[in-house]
Amino acid sequence: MGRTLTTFTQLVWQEIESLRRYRRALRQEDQQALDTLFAAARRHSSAGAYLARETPFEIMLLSMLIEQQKQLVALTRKVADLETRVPADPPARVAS
Amino acid sequence: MRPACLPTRLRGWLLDAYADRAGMAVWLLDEDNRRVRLLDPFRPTFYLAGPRHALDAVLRALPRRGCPLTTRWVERHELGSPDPVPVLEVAVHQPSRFPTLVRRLLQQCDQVQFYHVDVPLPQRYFYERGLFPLARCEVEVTVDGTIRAIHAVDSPWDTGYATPPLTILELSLEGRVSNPNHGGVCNLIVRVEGEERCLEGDDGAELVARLNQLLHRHDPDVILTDWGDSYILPRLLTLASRVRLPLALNRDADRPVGMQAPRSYFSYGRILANAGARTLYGRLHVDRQNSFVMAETGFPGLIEQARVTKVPLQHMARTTTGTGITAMQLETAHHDGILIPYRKREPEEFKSALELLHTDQGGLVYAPVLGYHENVGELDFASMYPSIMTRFNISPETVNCSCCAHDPAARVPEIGHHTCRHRTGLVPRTLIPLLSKRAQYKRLLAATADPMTRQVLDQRQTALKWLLVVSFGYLGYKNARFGRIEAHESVTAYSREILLQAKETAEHRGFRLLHAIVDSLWVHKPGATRGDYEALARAIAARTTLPIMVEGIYRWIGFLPSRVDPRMPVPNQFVGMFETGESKIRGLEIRRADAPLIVKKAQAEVLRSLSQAQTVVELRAHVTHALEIIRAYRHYLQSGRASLEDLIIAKSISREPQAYRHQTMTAIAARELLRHGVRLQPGETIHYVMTDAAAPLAEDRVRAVATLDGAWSYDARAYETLLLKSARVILAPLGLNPTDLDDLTNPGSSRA
Repeated sequence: MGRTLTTFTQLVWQEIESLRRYRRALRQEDQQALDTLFAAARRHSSAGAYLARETPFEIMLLSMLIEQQKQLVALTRKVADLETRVPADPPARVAS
Repeated sequence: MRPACLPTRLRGWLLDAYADRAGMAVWLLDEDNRRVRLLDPFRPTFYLAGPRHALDAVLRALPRRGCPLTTRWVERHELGSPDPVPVLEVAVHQPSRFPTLVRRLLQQCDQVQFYHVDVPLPQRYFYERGLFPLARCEVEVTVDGTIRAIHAVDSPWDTGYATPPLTILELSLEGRVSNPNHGGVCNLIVRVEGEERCLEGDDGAELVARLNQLLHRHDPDVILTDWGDSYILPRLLTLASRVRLPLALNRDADRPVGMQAPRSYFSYGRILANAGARTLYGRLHVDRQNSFVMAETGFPGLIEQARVTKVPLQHMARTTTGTGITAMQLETAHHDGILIPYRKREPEEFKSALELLHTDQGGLVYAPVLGYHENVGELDFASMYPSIMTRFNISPETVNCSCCAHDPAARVPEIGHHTCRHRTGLVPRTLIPLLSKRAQYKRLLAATADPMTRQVLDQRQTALKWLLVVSFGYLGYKNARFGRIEAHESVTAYSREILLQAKETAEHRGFRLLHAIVDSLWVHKPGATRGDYEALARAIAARTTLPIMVEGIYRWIGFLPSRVDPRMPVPNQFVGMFETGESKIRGLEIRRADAPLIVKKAQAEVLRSLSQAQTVVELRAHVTHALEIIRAYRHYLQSGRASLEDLIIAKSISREPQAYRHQTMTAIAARELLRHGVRLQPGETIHYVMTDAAAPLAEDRVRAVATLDGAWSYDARAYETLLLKSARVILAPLGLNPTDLDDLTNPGSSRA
């Protein structure tokens, strides 16, 4: 007990909570994407707490970007790996 | 026309009522097929409130000479206030003097509040006597035609009413489709009781005489015209006065033809033109080309609206639907003893539910998922906004009432308002019978097979739908007599909550939301049957407590891209094929009034071809055939054989021709008409063809149709561009890019 400052984790929760109506109005598939982003934002709460800023939103965005960047690197590596194994197709043409 | 000896009791239909010196003139079409003019000694009243000295001044200012009045103190209510207020009631013994008297008082006495002064007198008369236009009534009359008692034997809420056997005389211009005021000369066509005559205009006196002859012989109840208000009647009247022959258009020979100047006004976010009016007494003139309700719902719809709103038929034909719904609210107020405040006339700017979505962010809209989808269900809330108003009791006087502020059940979602849980509001009480009558018509429609009956039922229910649609626009309209912005906000807040609940219910049951606009949802679940969609509708209805129906199941539906940015989806722009084989199309050229016929024909043919596809894979297979169709149309255009009819572009002008700042095609055509001496008002529709769209000289780019003479040619390339645009929007989601579309449909190209 005795804690007077809101912890960063709580700030992140409040921020997410304040977006409740935004989330509700999204399609279910988009809600799922948003939830993944929120999860990413929460993943780096401890780094955020260490920075100790009052407004969490830009830190949340950075945390989301970190996770996306990691995923991008992983996917790029995977595609490069697959390309070495499969010969490239000629680009598909549509209609006519 | 007034028989020497009348029976004391008459039965018949009420054809017309208007203010006369000693009362209301009432025309009855009686059971022996006679048209009788009667007089009801009705004395309309108005009310005044204000400080004593101001009211005393009014009393002194009241002219008593020649126009007898009766005054007395009575108690009435203001809307939403529980305590009655004392007001001075003034009864005018000569109804025909009422408007002038009121106008003078309004100018002289600015410290006084006026009530009941600007409700049209025929409506006041109908409210007091429980009558309505074309009501079947029973009348007790004295020998001189004075009404002792009159009452309706049917109700405006009957769905199975009989309409009177009206004799209709039609006036139109030979072969005319576009506005005759824009040029050209033509003969007058008269159609009556199965006969058609063409009256040539060479000899004015003879034309007037022959028309008079027909009017006397057939004595029509209705004169139905095309362009009667702005062209035929004004010209006939001028002609008649030139040849000094009275024209017997009116049944009441003591009256001149009523006149109203043309005007432009805002409605549904667009500027519209009203061509003025020429109205008759004892006989009804309706101009098909100057009537929103006639265009939307035909004569049966016009009669339906006049009956339920009690707005006289000739007025209802020419006014906005908003006037109709307002009139109904006024009647509810009048019967409750509520004072109707005087409203200054200000330009109308009310909006329908769908218009508000763009300006006000009123309802929720989900951009559609672009492309073609299979097995999609469309679910529509029935009359969502009016249903919300009645279900949650939303009315100017019920929102934020003093009695229910702390009742959690009275709270409006999202926003801080609440609505009354104790007293039903004026707006819901006006809407409840309308909603239930429309539901009855829809039930009758479902149980009727005869196509003629079905058409009438459908026109009647559409007429009611329009009244319901605009009822919401008037709730927040700042100039509306009983409007209040909080009421309007409450309706949209509920609508958003309800659409979200519907979306959640659908997603919870495994459906994907493809598109939604305010009160409609398009959802999809692989393998879902009609039964699954019906069950979903029931689940949504149970959760939201509002009626929702499956509009249909689409075999396939395509949500089509923006013409400006092909990556962007556009709400309410789609083409869909129902399981039943019927199609539903929104936002495409084929539905647009301004697209040239040739584009519509080509698009219709493409859609007809695509409609044979059962699946999206089959749709792709039909692309080749669609391209052949477009190619054939381009070939036809390039050959120079396209007819004028194929090429006409109809646009409504949004301002005076001189006021256009840019050289748009519409502006150029409007100015050409102006040079030819045609007077145009904003909101009017003009017709032109593209002659050389890229010409350096603006006047060469387009030509107004009304001024075309023998020598003209069209710009095939410009029409091909329109054609390609109309095809691209449909075919792009099937994988066809613009360059390929152009190449593959070019009659001269080797790739084709």
